[in-house]
Amino acid sequence: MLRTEDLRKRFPDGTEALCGVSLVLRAGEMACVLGSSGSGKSTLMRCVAGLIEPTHGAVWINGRPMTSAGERERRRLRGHMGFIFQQFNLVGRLSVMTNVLIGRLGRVSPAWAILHQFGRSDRACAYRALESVGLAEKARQRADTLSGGQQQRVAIARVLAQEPFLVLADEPVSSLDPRLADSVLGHLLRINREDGVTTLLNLHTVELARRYADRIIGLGQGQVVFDGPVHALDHDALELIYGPAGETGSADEDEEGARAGTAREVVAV
Amino acid sequence: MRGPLARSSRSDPWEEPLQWRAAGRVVLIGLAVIAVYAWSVQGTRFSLVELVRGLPDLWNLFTRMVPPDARRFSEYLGPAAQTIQIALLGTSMGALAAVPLGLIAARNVSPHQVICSATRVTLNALRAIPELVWALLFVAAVGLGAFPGVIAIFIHATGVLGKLYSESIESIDPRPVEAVRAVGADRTQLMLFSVLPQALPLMLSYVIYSFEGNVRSATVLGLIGAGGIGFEMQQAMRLFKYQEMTTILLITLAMVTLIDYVSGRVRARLV
Repeated sequence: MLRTEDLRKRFPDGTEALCGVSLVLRAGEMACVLGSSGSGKSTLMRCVAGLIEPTHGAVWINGRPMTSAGERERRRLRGHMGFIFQQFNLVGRLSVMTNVLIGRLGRVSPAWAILHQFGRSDRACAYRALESVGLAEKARQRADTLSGGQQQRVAIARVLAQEPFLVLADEPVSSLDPRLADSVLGHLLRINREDGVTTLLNLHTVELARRYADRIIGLGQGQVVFDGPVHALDHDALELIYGPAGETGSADEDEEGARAGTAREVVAV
Repeated sequence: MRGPLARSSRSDPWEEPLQWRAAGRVVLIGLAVIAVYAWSVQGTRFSLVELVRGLPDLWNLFTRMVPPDARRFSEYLGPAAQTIQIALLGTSMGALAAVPLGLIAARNVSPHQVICSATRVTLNALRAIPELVWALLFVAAVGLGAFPGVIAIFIHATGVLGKLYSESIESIDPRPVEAVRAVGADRTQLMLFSVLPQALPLMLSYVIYSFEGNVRSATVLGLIGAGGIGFEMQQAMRLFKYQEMTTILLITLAMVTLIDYVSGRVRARLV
């Protein structure tokens, strides 16, 4: 489904965000990347989506190479991959419906889209997507009039309208309060379970990862330091991912480990 | 207030020399400013004495301008309307031509670094040459009338709006653009669904603002034969019909004020 091989990324300022990440995601998996801030989680997501170029290594989506593909093939692959951002990234001045229809852009004929016009089937698909996140009645409203939680659900509807086989979610709930986080992650889980959409997401707390993911991938300093099913995520694994807990206090319980992770994020920001 | 902070700062060994240096800098800047003004006064032979000496003549001219002669009032309305037409056509054509140029000149969306720089240089050139100069060229080329005025405004407006568009586009939020890129949109779709929706209100507001200025410019263009109310003004002045000129000036004043007012209201609603 998704395979990365020895993915490396060095930014122009010299930061080594990824130092050889090799991963295989099987179809239908719900995998969560954990790691402290600066561990390369976002960079990994963006490299997989082809939004940034890795310095070295390759990404295959469904057996097709992403990294070495031409721009047209890349666009086609991106059309089948949904990406959810921490800050929702809706086009605020456009209506909710148009934002969801943007998810169809990879599929529609370019000529029609020039006039902001979409075919009947595209509109129906977008409307169904909006219905499934419970925001159909907001379709005509401007996207920036919605609350953060609603905006993230519109972003999920945009991904659904893509009819993707892979969803990448980069810190999808870090800007939301816990109750909204559950609602948003619930939608992602449902898409994974019901439609069998492979999902790779990164989360800011261990507790959420335990509740929603099947598999945990721990990143530390740009390398995979842990990779296993969610029940294998014990004290030792967390120390591997977030470093010795002694530095930030006791980490006997899961929650403590989670807090250690977030505490580091705060410091790094 | 003599807290421990005040005392410790006084013992700061760096403080005194720094203050002296700052004072020295102020004096230097002051001298430089005075020198620049002295140079300008000298270069322009600016003299208050001359101004006072000229006052009787100015008064003389003023008395010959009042009361305004409004007998041909209705004959000036057509040319006044033509001035607005010149500004409207020129600005609109410029506003359209500037869209692709503005997109190419915006560093964040430009297709290529070299094309971007070349477009910026071109826009600068179009903008640096005043409408008046363009109009002189086109009056010479196609003859007197409103048409060369339209072309002059069009060219200048393209340069101004292209630059302002590119700045509007550079100020947009890049995150929605990345999101639209992530769904597999091509370059055109990216512009239409994420770049332009964000930049458009500001761009439109610049268009209206430029129209405002172009009504004034179109008036001036008439003075060199490019049609409109300015042409009438120049005729009246040349024939020493100062009282008629006052009427024309009042019409111009009313017209410009009205346009500024309306466009100001529209812009306030846009942004």
